Amino acid sequence: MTSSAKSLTNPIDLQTLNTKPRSLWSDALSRLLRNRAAVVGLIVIVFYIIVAVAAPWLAPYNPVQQIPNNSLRPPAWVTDNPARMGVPEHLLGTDTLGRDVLSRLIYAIRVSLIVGVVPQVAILFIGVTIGLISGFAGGWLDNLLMRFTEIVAAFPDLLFIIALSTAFRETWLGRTFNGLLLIFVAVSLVSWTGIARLVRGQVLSLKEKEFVEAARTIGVPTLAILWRHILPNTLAPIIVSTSFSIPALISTEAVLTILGVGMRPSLDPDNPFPTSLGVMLTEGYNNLSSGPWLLSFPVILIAGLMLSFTFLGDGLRDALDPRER
Amino acid sequence: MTAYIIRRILWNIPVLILVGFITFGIAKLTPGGPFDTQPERRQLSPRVEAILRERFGMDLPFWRQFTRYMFFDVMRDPRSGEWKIQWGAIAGNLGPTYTSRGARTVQQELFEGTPSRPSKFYYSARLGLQALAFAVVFGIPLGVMAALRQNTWLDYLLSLSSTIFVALGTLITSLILVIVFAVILNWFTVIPDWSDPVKPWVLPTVALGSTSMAFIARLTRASVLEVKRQDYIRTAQAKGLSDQVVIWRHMLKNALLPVVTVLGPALAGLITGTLFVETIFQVPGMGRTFVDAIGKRDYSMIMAGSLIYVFFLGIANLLVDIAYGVLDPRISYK
Repeated sequence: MTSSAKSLTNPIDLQTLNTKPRSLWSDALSRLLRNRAAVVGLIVIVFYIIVAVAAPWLAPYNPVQQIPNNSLRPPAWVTDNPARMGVPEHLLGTDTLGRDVLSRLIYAIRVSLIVGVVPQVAILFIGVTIGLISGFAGGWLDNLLMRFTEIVAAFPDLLFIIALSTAFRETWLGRTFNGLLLIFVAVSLVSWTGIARLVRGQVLSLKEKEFVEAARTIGVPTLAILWRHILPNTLAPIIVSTSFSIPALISTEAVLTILGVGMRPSLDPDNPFPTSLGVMLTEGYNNLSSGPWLLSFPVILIAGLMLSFTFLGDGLRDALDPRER
Repeated sequence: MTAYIIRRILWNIPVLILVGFITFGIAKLTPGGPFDTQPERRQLSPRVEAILRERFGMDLPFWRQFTRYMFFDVMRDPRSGEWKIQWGAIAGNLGPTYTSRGARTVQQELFEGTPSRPSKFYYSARLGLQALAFAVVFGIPLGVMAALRQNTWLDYLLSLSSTIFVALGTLITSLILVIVFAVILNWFTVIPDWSDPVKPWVLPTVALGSTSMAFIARLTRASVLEVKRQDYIRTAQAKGLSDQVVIWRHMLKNALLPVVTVLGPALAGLITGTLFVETIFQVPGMGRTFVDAIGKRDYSMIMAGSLIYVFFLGIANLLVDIAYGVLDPRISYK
């Protein structure tokens, strides 16, 4: 009581005390939460993440366990063929080797999410570093780096990734982590150009701003200017581009696996990452006539994943860049 | 303008050489060689392999193999003993294929065909052009329709479906098309019969073109909305021109300009998309050949693959740039 009575006497104090400062981020968050499609996307992504983390507890069977006399069972609700009936024990049916599709899907989500996130970290690291250096240094270094970026971008991404994945498939690199490590390396080596250009463009305009000049005049070292003052201001477009890049990476893994140069499915029952959505798409595609559900379920899951990230990305773009509207 | 075009064409040359160099480097660094990757074929005797290695110049230093493939090499004819120049990729000689043990060249493998058995290039080029036509013919009218009926259910429906198509991408769209039209509805066979001139082309064309179509529709919509608010449109309406004349003569002429820019990235997507769309729909085109060539270490075919793709990407981007300059008098290239 006393404190409010005190502040009443001073109206300026009242304002500064009772109005919480609203940062760019809290503003953006409230705008994002008003966007229905983005919220749905976010919820679906969180759901996928929970499934991925809790896979060992959620999966009713071991994803590589082959149950004898149980191959190619349709989903539980398909009961029109008495010779091959769906059974409730295998909700989404079984594949050609008698493995439970639902369990495999749960584990596949896990690997596909990793495939979307890990290379993205590497892409950000390379792209942001080159973009920062190029934009801030300027001159011949900028010219050199941008020409290099241009050449890497001129290379057809997919062709290069396919070439690298095929080339090193039989080496130790191609065997580590079921061939996923090689995919990560190949994808990261070509996909950073977009981020590098984006960051460079941002830095070029930011380094002329007054606050950077002010920091420089009071003697802040260059690295600190880059890290503390310029990088945080480029975060918004980086976040937006990340949410569009993750589904693209997941799809790239699927493309590589369908072409036969992607992930190798594991038959080891102790492997925590035995299969990916790309592997399941490939298996489903190869058994299209005998078991159409083998293709349909992974397609639905991967489509859901891609739509969610896109809706979230659209929402983030609108939320972080209010000038757009 | 002419100077700009010439410079752009010239810039493609170092890009092609560098891409060729990187591809060559990766191909040669790859473990294994072209003669030991097919265990099911009869294995070569060491003597034959030595002759083949000699013919393909595989024992030459790396740089010389590269310049022989890309530019030319001076070599001695084994029979007559005369020195002659053998031209490489810059003269259109893409080299002998390793899988045929040098009996056929890459250009024969890719571009040679008969009316009854078209070449691989024909299949890929036709698929790509059909997909581009599909994307433009449907994308632009859909975008215009959405913009003219802004904030109606039609607009929302079109915007939502174009977002969905862009998000799903070519691969997932292809697989959904296979499930729906080949498995559930059974309108098309999963294994295509290429003697039919229309039926086997439908699904791959739609699959390859749909993402670009959605992209074009989205951009057309945004661009028409921008133009719709301009003063000269209001002037045209105020002086009593009919809606048709305003839309066709005044609005579209300007609104379609930015759409041309998106054709470049769209073409790039189409060109690389053929790589796996051909696999999924079993099109006997170049894409599958290139992917297989990497596995078989067919160095000439691998090189030809990246050079051809980069070459067409460069041409596509150049055409888009020129079209933009011709269509928009405000743009001047220096």
